[in-house]
Amino acid sequence: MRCFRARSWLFAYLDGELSERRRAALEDHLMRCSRCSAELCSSKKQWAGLANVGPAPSIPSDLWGHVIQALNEAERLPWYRLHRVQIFRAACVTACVALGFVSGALLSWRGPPADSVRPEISVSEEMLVAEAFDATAFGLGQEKEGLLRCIPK
Amino acid sequence: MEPTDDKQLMRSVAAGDRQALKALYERHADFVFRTAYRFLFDQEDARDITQSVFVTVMQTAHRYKPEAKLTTWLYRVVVNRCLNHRSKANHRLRGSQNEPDHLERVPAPEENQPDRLMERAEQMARLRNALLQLPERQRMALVLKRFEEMSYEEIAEVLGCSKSSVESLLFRARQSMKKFFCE
Ligand SMILES: [Zn+2]
Repeated sequence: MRCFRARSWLFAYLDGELSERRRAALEDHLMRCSRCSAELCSSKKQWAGLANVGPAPSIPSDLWGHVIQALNEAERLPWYRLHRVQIFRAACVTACVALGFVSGALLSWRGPPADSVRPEISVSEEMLVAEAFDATAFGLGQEKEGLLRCIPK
Repeated sequence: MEPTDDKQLMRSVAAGDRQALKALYERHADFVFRTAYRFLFDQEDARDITQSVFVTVMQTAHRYKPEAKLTTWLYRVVVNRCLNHRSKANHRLRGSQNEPDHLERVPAPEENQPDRLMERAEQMARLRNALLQLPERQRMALVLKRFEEMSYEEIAEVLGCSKSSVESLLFRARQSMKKFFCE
């Protein structure tokens, strides 16, 4: 193994992330190469030296209270301050409902209502008119003429 | 606690249960705060991030799929918050040339020796600044590996990349830090 290859594996070796085969090959190289061994040593020291970054402070004890406060505020937000995703979702729902109404209305519409052409005559009355017309046209009797007179104009 | 408990808690959170959110907070807030702090070295920013992460958990719990480990999902939220937060922190850092809120007391046995204490504080500030100079993803990988002792696989899941990318991120981060230590 060349030193270049050994150096590229050193960190993964320190992290215990090298495969068994690579680890064995690297360890074999380290036994025989003092420069790579020295490099391993200094890498270990530097990794340990990162502890000098100091401890992280402990979490502020009042932080949970702030989380609750932020949740309450988020629930009270006016619509225009909602997150874009929430606005988009609300817009989609509104569009779907509107589409539903429009398509429902279109499907149930069967042209202009009959009474806009001939007001005040229902289906049964039309039948009576037809029957009466037949009767007068073909002179089939007085009863049918009487019926015609009952129909509103 | 078992991860299944986390999942149960998430179901309750999705139903709007704030007590369940509190239980999750008690379990994971330390990690969130610590990671945000070590990434930015700013207590105020770490506070903001922790707060916004748990608000996000409450608001998006219904989208969490129980097949994924909660910690992975949560850590991703934290990491994304941190990566998006950097501009604010950098801005603050540039604006006031003081080191991040940095110089809180370092536990040291020789605290009664002002020179020694000063030296340590300076060393810490230099180290933190060197870390802050790293590209964000390298820095995050380094924080998760060095301080949270996560495996490459776990870091890859959280950062949304391959194991070999994590190895490469850590390699480059360490090479940069090596320059710092050798100066
Ligand atoms: Zn060598």
